[in-house]
Amino acid sequence: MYDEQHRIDVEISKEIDKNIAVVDSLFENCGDMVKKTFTLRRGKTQLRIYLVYIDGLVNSEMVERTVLHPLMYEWRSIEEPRPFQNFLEEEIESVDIQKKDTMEDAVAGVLKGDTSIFVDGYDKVIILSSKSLPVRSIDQAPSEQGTRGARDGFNESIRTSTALLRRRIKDPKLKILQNQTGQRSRSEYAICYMEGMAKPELIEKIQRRMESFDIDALFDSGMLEHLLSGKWYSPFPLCQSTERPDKAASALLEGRVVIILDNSPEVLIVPVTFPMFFQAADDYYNQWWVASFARVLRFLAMVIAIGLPGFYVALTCFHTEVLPTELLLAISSARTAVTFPVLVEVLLMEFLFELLREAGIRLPGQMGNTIGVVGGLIVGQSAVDAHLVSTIVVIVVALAAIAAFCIPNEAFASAFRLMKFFLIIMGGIWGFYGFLLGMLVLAIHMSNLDSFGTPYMMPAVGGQAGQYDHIKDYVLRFPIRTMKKRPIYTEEGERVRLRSFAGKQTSAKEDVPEEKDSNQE
Amino acid sequence: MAAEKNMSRQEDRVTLRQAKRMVLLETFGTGALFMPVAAAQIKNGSGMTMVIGVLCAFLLGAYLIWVSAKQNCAAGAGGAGERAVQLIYALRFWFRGVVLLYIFGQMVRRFLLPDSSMFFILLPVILVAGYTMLRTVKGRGRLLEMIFWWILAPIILIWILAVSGWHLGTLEGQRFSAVGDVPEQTLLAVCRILLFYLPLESVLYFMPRWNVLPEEELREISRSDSEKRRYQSAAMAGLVTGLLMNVAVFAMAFLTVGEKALAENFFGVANMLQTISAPGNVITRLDIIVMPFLILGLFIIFSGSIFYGCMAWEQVISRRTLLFPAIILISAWAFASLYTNFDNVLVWYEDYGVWVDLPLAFLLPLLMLWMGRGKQKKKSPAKQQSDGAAKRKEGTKAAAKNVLLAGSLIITAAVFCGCDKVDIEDRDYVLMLGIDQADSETALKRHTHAYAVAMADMQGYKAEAGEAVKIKTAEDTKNSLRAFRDSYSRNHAATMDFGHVELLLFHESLTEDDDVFEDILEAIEEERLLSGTILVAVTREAAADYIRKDEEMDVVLSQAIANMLKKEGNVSVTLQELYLAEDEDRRVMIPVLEFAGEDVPQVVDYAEVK
Repeated sequence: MYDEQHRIDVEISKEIDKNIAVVDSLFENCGDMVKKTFTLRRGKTQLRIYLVYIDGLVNSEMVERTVLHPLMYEWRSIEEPRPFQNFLEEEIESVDIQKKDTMEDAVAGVLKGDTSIFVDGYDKVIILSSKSLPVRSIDQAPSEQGTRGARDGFNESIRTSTALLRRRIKDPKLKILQNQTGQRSRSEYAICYMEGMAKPELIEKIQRRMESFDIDALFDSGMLEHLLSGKWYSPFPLCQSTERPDKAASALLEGRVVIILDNSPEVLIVPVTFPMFFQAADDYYNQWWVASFARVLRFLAMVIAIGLPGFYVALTCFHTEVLPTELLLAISSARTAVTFPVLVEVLLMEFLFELLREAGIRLPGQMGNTIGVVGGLIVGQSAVDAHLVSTIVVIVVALAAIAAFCIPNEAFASAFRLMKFFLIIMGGIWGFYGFLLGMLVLAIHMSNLDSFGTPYMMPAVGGQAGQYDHIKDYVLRFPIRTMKKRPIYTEEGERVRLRSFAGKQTSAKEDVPEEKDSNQE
Repeated sequence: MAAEKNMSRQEDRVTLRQAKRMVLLETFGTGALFMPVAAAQIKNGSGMTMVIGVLCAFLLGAYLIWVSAKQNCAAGAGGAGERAVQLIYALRFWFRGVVLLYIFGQMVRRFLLPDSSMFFILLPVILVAGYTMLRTVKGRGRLLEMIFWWILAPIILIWILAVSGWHLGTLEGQRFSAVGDVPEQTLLAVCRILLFYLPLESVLYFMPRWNVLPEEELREISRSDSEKRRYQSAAMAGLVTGLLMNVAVFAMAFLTVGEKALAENFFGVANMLQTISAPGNVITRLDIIVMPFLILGLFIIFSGSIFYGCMAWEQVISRRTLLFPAIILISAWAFASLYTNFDNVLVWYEDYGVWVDLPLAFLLPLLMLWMGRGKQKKKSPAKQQSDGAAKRKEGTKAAAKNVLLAGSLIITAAVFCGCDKVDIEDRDYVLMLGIDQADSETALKRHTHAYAVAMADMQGYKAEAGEAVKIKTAEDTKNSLRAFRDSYSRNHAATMDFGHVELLLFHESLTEDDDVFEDILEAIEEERLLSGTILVAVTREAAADYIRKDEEMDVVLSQAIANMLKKEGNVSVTLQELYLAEDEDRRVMIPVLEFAGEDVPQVVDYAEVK
């Protein structure tokens, strides 16, 4: 009954018994299926219908109220020559109802939480939207908390997620292209964009990439992200993920595209650039100087997170003359009884921290918090007392770990945690020269990354990006009133976002489409 | 199809900002480091020589930018003549890359990793250079655009910090006529200066390919012309800015260390950095932090030479291969590791550069223009580019895997063979060094002196207790500081480390004879074990007595003396100032110390030395 793509290639028969036999065969040994045949009276004639749905996914009361009651009682005395058509247009009391032609659609509807209604004598099926899926309520995004802003977050229901976007952007130009992916999971996904702002070629590219793979199932947007990313070997995320609807809505209004996958609370936003991973949602809700300070702090945190341990190793192994004498003597005395070389000591401590971090994630609630305290205080101090590591290294490694937590995007921070080891090894083998070469390797790699055609390191890389206020939302967050233009990846003709302020027109002007900048990536 | 053509064209296309920054870095990378040294060869005329050299460099750069607007070397070599020109370019770029790699390795060895072999030093940079070979021109443009501030910002910082140490006295003696006094030498110096701006030839390869217009763009010639002018303007802006920055570096180096010190050593500019300290002495040796960023500029030039050499070779054989850059990189690495006579390399390169490379730099573009005159590329170059881009990607992927595998094996080997560093706690840090005249027998041997050092005794030292560190001493009579250090390391568990010497004491007998003192200073300078910021003093008693007394005192004597010398009313002299005075042939007053019943010796007199 299945073809090569695991799609049902059986047609709907006009004989309802055959359809019943097919459905029974398809859903054999499925104890959660509800299948029932009903005989309807229409004047003097009788008509059989066959309902199928999955218990637990459906609001059965709604089915009885909108389908069974009207069909079986309200219309029973009326003769009708075209019952199927009448069911669709008059009798079934639901707005979300459609007609489908194939058994594949009928089964797919049932699996999604709809009710399929077969009618004797017709080779079509009625799909009634009757979903009552088990989903979480709307909660605050746990990984993206802030001091200000909305407290709602996406959840596993694609419909809830799209609704949260619609709440924020009440514009008919917000388009939501829906489709499904995953041969077995048939997960629904939505490509959300603002018509006129998002570049058509970007949307086409996303659609092409979504159709370029044939996989069994996608359970999370993380899997989707890795399938969509061009450079699979890069540790840096090439899509931004968020659980915050305000962040997603803001991205839409910059001409970016949001991809929502059913059953995943994190949505993907593309394209993404390096500075975006340092932007927190409440940056735009706080005063600009507060937000700017926080941004600078995050960039410094990045430098510390990736560079401090390697720099420490380089200095203490190769360039002790850089350190002030008092500090040098303090470090030297602290290391007097330590068994291992500095490089091994730092790697050991970093490994220990990674273990604690991983354990803290896996352990639930209170135990996870306890691990942090136990690990940090007791294990760390014990390691020092046992002369496995020195106190200076504990400080260096702890500082680097704390700095990594300051970066808002966890996936991005994780990439930096990995790169830190690379720089530690380079610094430990070749000193500060090796450390800088390691940074250069990262620079070579990152400068050549693209996120759906946009340079990853924009505006550090990207020519005329500065003309579109990229600098105003980079290391510092300029006042909102000065951020008049949308970024460079917004479609031409829609680049101005602040048209007037305090009753006066702003100086920002739209690009003339004929003067297409040939330097755009 | 159109999208593919567009994409393949954009693979090798830099943006305006990238073009400007690439030209600036090609100007700055070697120019800043070595142009001042070349200019300083003309005694009393280095300033004028620099001005002439920079003007000539500007003309050279402008000429190359003008040619690049008319003829792009990466546009495809048609006939045998064009291929021959490209072959010459490839060989020239290759040779320049090898020499620059050698200089790169020498710099790293000299300033950052003095105890490491060239093989070990160049291993990572070869791999990184190989990694950059996998990129296109656009990728290279992006990299330079991104690391632009990595190279410029430290220089600007150094420039600001150096201002306080400028000696305007170094300007004395500078004459315009000094240049005319030695016209041949001046011409040679200018040619040497131009050698360091030859990397500007890369504009012939990375500027957009204006002379290759696909049919659909023939209709938009007017738009293409304005875009061409914008690129030329951006390149000229990069050239001028780069040259001005080079002039600023020259001024900084000249005013800090003087003409003679600059001319003495090929790495005069880098040596100058040692004299600059961070505010508040937060970082004792700022030059070690800044030096890698300058060396990064050199890496850009070296890797660029190999990169564009590969592009030229591509034109010769009409396809892309990673074998060529791999061979060059490995052979450069082998050469630099095996051939140790650096001075010979410089002499050869200078001769080759002045008599062969420089003339070719002027002649080859003219030859290309002459060969390319009146020709419009009839065949669709976009298709050629898209074919090339597709082949490049295929070849790149396969080769990249081999490179990565080889690189991983080599790095693993290096990890196991190169990590014999002395740990921080296994060193004895010298805080004070004393040099006395050797006894009569051994004094007959040149440079043989009695050395005494006061070192921090880490046994039982706890920094958190707040107490001063105890001192231990060592003495020996050797013919050099390095021999003294090596002898100590052979007989003790720890290695002697001179990185934190605060005070250098000379017995006054050594300062009585100017030639002897000059000899000692030259030897110390050559060994490069001591930083130029060390304070210097003369002692009436044996310097070793001060060292031994330090062992008995509760305070660290070197710190106490240093603080005393820096007090207002006293004159403190650093080692760098002595070097400078020696170069300028002037006299310096060094404080003479004597205990005179005090706990800490006081300045009782000044010894005049030259």
